[in-house]
Amino acid sequence: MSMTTSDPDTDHSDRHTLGEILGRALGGGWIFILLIVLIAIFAAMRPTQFASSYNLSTLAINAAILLVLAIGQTFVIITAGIDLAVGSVLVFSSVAAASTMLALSGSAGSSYGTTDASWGVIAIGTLVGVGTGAAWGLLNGLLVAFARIPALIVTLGTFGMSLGFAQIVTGGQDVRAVPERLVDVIGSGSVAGVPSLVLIAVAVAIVAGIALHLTRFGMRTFAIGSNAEGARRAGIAVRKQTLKVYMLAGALSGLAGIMSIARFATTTIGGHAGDNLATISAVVLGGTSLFGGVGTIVGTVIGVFIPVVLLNGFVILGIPPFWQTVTMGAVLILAVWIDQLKRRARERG
Amino acid sequence: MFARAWTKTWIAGASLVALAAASTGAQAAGKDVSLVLGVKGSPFYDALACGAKDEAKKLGLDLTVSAPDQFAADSQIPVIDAVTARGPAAAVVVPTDTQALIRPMAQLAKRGAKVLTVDQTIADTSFIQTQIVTDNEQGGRLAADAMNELLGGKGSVMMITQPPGSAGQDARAKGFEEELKKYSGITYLGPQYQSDDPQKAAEIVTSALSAHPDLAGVFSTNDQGAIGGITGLKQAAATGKVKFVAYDSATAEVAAFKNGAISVLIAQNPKQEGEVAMQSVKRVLDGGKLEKTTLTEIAVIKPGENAKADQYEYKGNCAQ
Amino acid sequence: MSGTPLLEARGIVRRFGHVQALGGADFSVYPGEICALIGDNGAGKSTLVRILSGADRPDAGEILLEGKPVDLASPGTAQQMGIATVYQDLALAPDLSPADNLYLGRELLRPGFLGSLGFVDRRRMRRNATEQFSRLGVKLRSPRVAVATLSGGQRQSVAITRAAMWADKLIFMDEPTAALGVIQTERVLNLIKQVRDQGIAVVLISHNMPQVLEVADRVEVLRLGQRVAQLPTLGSSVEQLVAAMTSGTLAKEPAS
Ligand SMILES: Nc1ncnc2c1ncn2[C@@H]1O[C@H](COP(=O)(O)OP(=O)(O)O)[C@@H](O)[C@H]1O
Ligand SMILES: [Mg+2]
Repeated sequence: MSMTTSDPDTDHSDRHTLGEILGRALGGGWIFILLIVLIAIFAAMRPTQFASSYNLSTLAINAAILLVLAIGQTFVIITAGIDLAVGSVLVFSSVAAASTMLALSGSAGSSYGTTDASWGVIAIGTLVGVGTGAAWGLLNGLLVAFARIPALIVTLGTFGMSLGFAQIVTGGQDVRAVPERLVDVIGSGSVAGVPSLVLIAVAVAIVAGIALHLTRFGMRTFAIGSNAEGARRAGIAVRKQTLKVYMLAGALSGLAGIMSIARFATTTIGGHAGDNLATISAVVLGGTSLFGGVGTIVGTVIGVFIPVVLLNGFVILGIPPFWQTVTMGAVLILAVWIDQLKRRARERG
Repeated sequence: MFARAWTKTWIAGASLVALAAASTGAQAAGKDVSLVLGVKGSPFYDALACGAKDEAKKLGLDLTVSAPDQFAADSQIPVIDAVTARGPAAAVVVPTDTQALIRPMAQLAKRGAKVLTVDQTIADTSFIQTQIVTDNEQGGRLAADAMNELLGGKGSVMMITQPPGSAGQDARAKGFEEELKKYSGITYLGPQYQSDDPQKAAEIVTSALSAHPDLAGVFSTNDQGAIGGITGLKQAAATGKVKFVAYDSATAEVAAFKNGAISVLIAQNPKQEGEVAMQSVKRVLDGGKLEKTTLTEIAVIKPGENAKADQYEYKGNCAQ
Repeated sequence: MSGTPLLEARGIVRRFGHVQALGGADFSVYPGEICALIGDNGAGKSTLVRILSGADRPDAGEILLEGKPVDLASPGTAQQMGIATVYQDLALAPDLSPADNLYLGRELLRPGFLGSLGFVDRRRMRRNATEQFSRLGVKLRSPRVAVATLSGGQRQSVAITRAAMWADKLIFMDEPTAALGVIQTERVLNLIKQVRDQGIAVVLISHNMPQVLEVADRVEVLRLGQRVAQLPTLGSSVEQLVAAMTSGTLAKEPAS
C-alpha cells in the first residue's frame, strides 16, 4: 500500500486521488508487480509462443471461471468467513442446469454431444444454475449466520453434500448433451475478438468491484468482517448481511457452473475438486485478509492470474510439472507473510 | 515511488530473462513433441513418461512432458492450451474426459500439431492420428476368466469399480460382468463404487463380508480399489480366503501379490504404451499413416509369477 | 437537585440465575450534566448501563425519559430516543477509516438514482466527519487511514465522537479511559467535557476517583445492586466517595 500511495499524514485533500484509488485497489501492490514480471519473463523467453494473441486469450479464458468463483470467495473472506463449497456448488448447479436444459430441448445439435436447445431454454437453464447456486449459498449463510456453526465446517459439509447430490442426481454420469448455442456462442464464441467467457468474467468483476467498494452493501461487508459485534451494535443487521454474502458467493458459483458447461460442453462432476483452495489462494494473493475486513476485487483478479500464468509459462517452457506446484506454494506463503508484515507495521502505527 | 518500483521490476525481469534464455536452448523445429499426462505424481503415468522419454531419445525427438494437478478436464485443459501455444510438431495426450477435451484438442490439431491419444481416448477422433489404448473390455474378460479359475467354477463374486463415467473403468467392468455370465457356478453380487478412495474400498469389502459371509472373490478395476479392498480383507481376517483379482500392477499391488493378498493381477504396460506413442509420433512426422487404434498389451500375472510381477510393476524411476 | 431528570430509573431488578446484579436500583441523570456512576466491582454498574441503553432488559422496574415511561427494547430504540453508548470494549471496525466508522450502520447514500442503488456518498461522509472531529477538538492524522493504525486514545475519541454524533440527549461511557495513558486520558476527558458543552448529558462509569471529581458534575453511587448515594462533586472528597462505595454510609439526599 505504501508503495503506491502518498503519505496519509500529509494527505488531507477531500477527493480520491488516483494514487489512493490505485493503492487501495492494489492492496498488495507487489503481487501486481510479480504478475507483470512473470508475464515479462515468459514473453521475453518465448515471444512467439507465450505472447501470441492466441495464448493470451486462452490465458484469459482459463482464468475466467475461476475468477467468477474467486469474486464470491472475496466477499466471503472479507466477512472473515470461508467458502469451501464453491467448486462443488459449481458442479451441482451445472448438473441442475444441464439436466434442465436437456429435458427441455428437442433433438440433437449438429456437433457432437450437443442439443439444439433455444436461447429460451438456455435462459431457463441459467436461472436454474444461478438459483440452485444461490440456494446452496442460502443454506451456507443460514448455518453460518443463524445456527452459528463455523463457516469452515458448514462449507466443508455443503462441499460434500452438493457434490454428493450432483452424483446422486446423475448416477455419477456427466450430463453430456448440452445446448449447442451455449457452447458455440458463450463457450467458444467471442465478441469483437474478446472471448465471451472473458467478457462475462470482466462484467462480473466490474459489478462486484463497484458493489464492494462503492455501495452500502460493500461497506457493511467490510464492517461485519472487521468487527461483527461492533457492526451489530451500530445497528447493522449482521446476520442478514452474512446471509446475503454467502448467497452471492453461491449465485456466482452457479453462474460459473453455466460458464463451465459452455466451456467444456459437458458437466464436469469429476473436476473442480481443487477450486476452493485455488480461489482461496487467489483471494489471499490478492491482498484480502483471512481475518476479514480487508480486501479488493482488483487484487483477486491479479491473484487468479498468477497461477494461470505460471502454469501456462511453465508448460510452454517445458519445465517439469511439479515445479509449478512448488512455485505456487512458495508464492502463496510469500503473500501471506507480506500481509503479516504489513499488518505488524500498521499496528506499530 | 511507484516509478522506482517499476524500474526495479524491469531490471529484475530483464536479468532473469537473460539468465533463462542462456539456460534453455531453442527447440528444434519439427521435432518438438509434447506429452500431456492424466495427472501429476501417478506411477502409471510416470512409467508411461519414462517409456516415452527413452524412446524419444532413440528416435531423436525433443520431448517435453506436462501434467495437470488432478485427473479432471478443468485441471487439464489449461495445460493443453499452453501446449497449443507452445506449438509442438506433435502432441500425445491422455485425455481426462471423453467430451470436454474435444475442443481444446481439436484446437491443438488445428494449429498444426499431430495429435495422438494414449491410455484414454475421446469421443470425437476425427482429428486424432491414432489412439494408443489397451482393450479394457478384454482386460475385464481376462479378469473374469482368472476369477473363475481361482474359484474352481463356483462362489459369490463382487466388483469394486469407479462410479460410471470413466470410459476405461466402465469397459473393464462391462467385460468382467459379461464374461462372468458364462460361468454358471458363479453368483455375481454386483458392483460397488469408490472414486480413487482406498478407505471407501475397505469399507465396501468389510460390509460386503458382513452381508455375504460366503463371499469368495473380489475384482477391483483399479489399484486404489485393490489397495483398499485387501486392507478390508485383512481387517476382516479374510485374506487369502477371499480371492482378489486386481487390475493394474502398482507397487503396492505387486507387494500384495507377492504376499498372497492379491491372487491375480491384470497388468497394463505403461512403459510400452509410452514407447509405442513415440514410435507412432515418429511415423506420423515422417509422413506415414497409422491405424485409428493401436492396441497395447495386457498381461495376466498368475499366482507364483513374481518375476513377471516385478517386470510389469508401474514405476516412474527413469532419469528426468 | 431540581427539574425533571432527563432519564430516570426506578426499582430496576436484574437477575442472572442466582446472582442478583440489580436489586431495585434507582438512577437519574439530568440534562446537560456529566454524571459519574461509581461503585465497587460487581456493584451492577455495567448491568444498569446496559439496561438503560437498551442492550439488556430488566426483570422489574421502570424507566422514564423526560418524565415519561419508555420501553428501551433494543440499542436501536434507545438510539432513536437520542441515547447512545460507548462500550468498554471498543465497538469500532478497526479496518475501516474513522469517517466510515462514524457512519457505521448509518451510511450516507448518494442523492438520486445512484443512492437508490445503494451507492454511498464517501465524500460527504468524510467532509462531515472532519467537521465533527474538529468541532469536538479531536485531532486525527487523517480521516482515511484504518482505525487500527490510531492510538488507543484516538480510537476512544472516534468512538465518543460517533456517539455524540448520533445521540442528542445522552451518552453512556463505561470506563472510557481504563486502557489509556495519562496524556491520552486527559484528551478523552476534555472531549467528554466538549460533548457536555454541546448540550449532551454524559453518564460516566469510572474507578478513578480524582478523575470523577475533576470531570463530573454529580455522582451516583451503586452498592450491591442498589443506589446508596447521590452527591454533587463540588465540595466532595475522594474519601467521601470511597466511603459511600464501600459502606454506603453517606446519608442519602432526599429523592428529587
Ligand atoms: N451476563 C451475566 N451473567 C451472569 N452474571 C452477570 C452477568 N452480567 C453481570 N453479572 C453479575 O452481576 C453482577 C454485577 O455485574 P456488573 O454490572 O458487571 O458490575 P460492575 O460493572 O459494577 O462491576 C456481578 O456479580 C456479575 O458477576
Ligand atoms: Mg463493569
